[in-house]
Amino acid sequence: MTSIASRRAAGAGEATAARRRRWRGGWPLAALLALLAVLTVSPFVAMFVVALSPAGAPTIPLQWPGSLTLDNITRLLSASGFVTWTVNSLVYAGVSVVIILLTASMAGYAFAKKRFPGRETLLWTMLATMMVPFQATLIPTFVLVNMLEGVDTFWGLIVPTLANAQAVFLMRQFILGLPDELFDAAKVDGASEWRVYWTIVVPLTRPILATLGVFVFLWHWNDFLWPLVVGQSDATRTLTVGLTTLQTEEAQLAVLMSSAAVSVIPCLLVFFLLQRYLVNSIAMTGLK
Amino acid sequence: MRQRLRDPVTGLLFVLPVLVLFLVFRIFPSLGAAGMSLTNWNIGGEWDFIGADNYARLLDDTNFWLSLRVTLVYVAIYVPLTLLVALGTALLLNQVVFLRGLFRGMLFLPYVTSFVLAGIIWRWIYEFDGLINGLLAKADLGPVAFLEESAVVLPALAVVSVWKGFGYSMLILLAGLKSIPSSYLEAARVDGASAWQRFRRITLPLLKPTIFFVVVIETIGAFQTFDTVYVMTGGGPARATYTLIFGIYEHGFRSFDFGYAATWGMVLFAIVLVVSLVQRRFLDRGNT
Amino acid sequence: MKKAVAVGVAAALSLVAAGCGSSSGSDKSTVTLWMYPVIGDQAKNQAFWGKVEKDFEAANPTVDVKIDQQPWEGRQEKVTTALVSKKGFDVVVLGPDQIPQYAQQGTIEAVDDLVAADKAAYLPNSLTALTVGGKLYGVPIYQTITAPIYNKKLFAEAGVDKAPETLAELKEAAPKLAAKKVAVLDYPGKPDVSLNQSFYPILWANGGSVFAPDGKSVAFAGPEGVESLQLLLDLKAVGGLPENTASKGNDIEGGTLVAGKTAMYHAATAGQADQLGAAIGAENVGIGLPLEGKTRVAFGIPGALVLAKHSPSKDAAKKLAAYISSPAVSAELAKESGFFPARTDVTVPGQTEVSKEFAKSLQYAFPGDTHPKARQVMGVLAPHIQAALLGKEDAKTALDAAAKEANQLLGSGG
Repeated sequence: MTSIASRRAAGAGEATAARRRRWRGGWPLAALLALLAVLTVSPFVAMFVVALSPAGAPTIPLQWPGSLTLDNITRLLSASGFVTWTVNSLVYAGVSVVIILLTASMAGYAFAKKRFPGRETLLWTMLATMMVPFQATLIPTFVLVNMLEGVDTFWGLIVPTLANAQAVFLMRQFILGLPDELFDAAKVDGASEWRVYWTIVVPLTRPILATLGVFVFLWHWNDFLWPLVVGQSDATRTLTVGLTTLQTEEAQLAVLMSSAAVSVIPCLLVFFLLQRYLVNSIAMTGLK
Repeated sequence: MRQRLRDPVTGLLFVLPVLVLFLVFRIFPSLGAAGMSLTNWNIGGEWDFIGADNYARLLDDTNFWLSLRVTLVYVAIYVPLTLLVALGTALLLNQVVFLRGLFRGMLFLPYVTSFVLAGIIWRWIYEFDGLINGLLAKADLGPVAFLEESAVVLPALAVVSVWKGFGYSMLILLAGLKSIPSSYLEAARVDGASAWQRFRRITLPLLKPTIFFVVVIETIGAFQTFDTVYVMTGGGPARATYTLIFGIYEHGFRSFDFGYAATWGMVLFAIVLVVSLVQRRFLDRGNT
Repeated sequence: MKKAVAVGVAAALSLVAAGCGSSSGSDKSTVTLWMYPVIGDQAKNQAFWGKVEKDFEAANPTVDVKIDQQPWEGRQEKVTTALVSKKGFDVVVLGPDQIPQYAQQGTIEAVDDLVAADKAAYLPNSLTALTVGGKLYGVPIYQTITAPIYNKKLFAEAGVDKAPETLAELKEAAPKLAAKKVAVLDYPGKPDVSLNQSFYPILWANGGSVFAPDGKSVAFAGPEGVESLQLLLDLKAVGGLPENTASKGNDIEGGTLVAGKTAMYHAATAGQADQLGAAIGAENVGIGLPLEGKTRVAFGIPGALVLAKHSPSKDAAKKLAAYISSPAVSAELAKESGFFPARTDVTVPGQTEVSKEFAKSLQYAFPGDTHPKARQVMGVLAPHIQAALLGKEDAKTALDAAAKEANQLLGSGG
């Protein structure tokens, strides 16, 4: 495996092997993937159809309505407060993404590569807080935020959600997989801690940072209960909460579906935008 | 001397922001919930410390034991299933190049939407005269009451949760797969290792930290499954899906018996912690 | 660096928010009302409540009114957190099933004085529904009512010329409709459907009640209860209930009534009647009086304005509540929302035909047994009824088991 001859052969054959690999992955697998994807997505086609159906058209069992109309959607978009809600949601999600990505990657790096007293205990204590069901902690958290005069404010909405154990844990697992040699080499070179973080950890964890960024955005964008409880007026209301103020007590499928359709679109946009970072793999040849 | 202190000091500094956030907004409210479990608080003015009375009541409560069994069965079905689906789709996405981005987006779509929507869609699929039973009828097989038969309702719900949530683990596993240097796999292939051997000897071990993450997070999540139950069965039929979390919600926000709800919460927390620590023993790559 | 900026921004934002939030010790008192979307169209909802706010402030210049729209979803959590933090609202809309618990906890204020003058003008049941321990805790501003709705065409096709008006007629009609593969009664057996709209109306029609008069035990396992559950099981046996009765909800859209698989629903709201009309044609929808057993009873609850005990501006809040429940505003609210007024001295301009039919049942309105643990008892009883519908327990066993659990619940503390 480590003889010079086989390594050279591996290098030379790599280009053709790579090309062959593309096709080896081949049609049967692609077809299977396509089938799974279509199965997963077909209920959403139903959702969009219902969202675009005129009022009163029979919706379930699924039938193609006589005509499609944008009425349901325009009614939502023209709701007073729609713009405010959307902006608030963007702020809520956006600020959280930036801060969580930064703090979680820093902490993840420390938990993975730095030795300090109480390291494992600390990590597992943070993870343990995830195991306390939020129905039990909702009221204590709210009371705390209330005592700090944070109710109906943006910081009261955002800051409590920045303590995200999953994010820290995810980064730690990832950075664990980065070879120690990299860090040793940097230390020997005399790089400062911050430099090590910025020039090694951040670039190498780009795929996972992008993935985490998408998730954090999603969790905050779709969050209902916390924004409901912390926000008191339209000024601090997020889109998820705002859209439910348009629903009467009896479930109206058209309103429900169009709300869902409207909420989904920004999330998909973010996902498709950040997708290309997920594609880059890390070339680590030449290290071992 | 300075060199030896460097690691612990910078380690703690990097962890500090996250630590502060956790102390204030997670640990403190969790302690609050623990404290609540020792009282008979129900929002109103009069409440007392009743010590371990709530815990004694819990041990005597047949609904609690029923709930525990339901939750354990559900977790046992959900976690392996979701790991399988997420890993399978991640492997497929890693291999197939054709329209990969599109498929990835489609498979991720359920994760992006709301539980209310998922509930409506899957109720329609599971209904007595819904999609699945319609297909079964064509094959002359009897209708199955997915949401009414206590024997099948838990697996049926698990399927909904898997459909809704697998995108998350899929993306994480995909990021993990992408960080495995392709050169390792190529070298092995050149050396004559079969696809299965490559998977078992190279991919799987290098993927271990990621798999550990997925298993732990999915288990914690599974123990706290609320929305799926709330939207689809409301704890029924005849309490067949009355998970611990649902019990906490009912005791807390329906009966306002917050002290008792917090007691259930603490017990759930203890169970999840034990399970996670056991998983850590078997799966965490030498980091104890 | 980025983090420092972010923290700075967050700090600045919070300062600004705090600054904007505080009322700088003005001589005006503020009253915050939490209102739910009772008027379907958002624009109309906002216009209506905007007008209420303006008119009231004009008549009461020392009071600043804020009417915040809240969503129906999650309102239990929202109201709870507000009461715990003693902030958020001065007045909120609650139903009679939520009031007993809050009254027991001592978090809401008695409002007998507000209603004293006009007591006779209110529907008697509206007021009793909101009374706990002899004190009134809410000012009714609207009344809902349910009544049976049915698919006229299906009955005609099955050769039944008159839709059932009594429980006995219901039983008679069942086999005739079953012959045409139609279940006569659309019974929603899913546990989270309120029993007020499924089992209880039948229980009440048979003269039964959920709680014993002293409220210390449950009475639904008595002969009337068994009779009622047995009726459902008998209907099921002849195909009078839909096949998925044990797990179906009472949503009209996409439901069995719209699909023509069931013929009537005994406890529908006017809104549901409209939905049915939209789906099968308004001319095919019939609206009846509550099904008669020993008596006629229709489930209907008042929506009431409730005053928080922690409110710092109680007098102003009381004035607002009195204003909104006055005949003029009441009538307007009924007109816009499609609900019914809780006052009998009010005529609603421009009521739809459907509403007028439903209004006929107002005299039979019954809010259900208001008891602090009513909801929990429902939570205990519903799964057993479901089990009976699934054939797992017979009527007596199911009710006895539920009664045992319920009595345990009533006996326990908290």
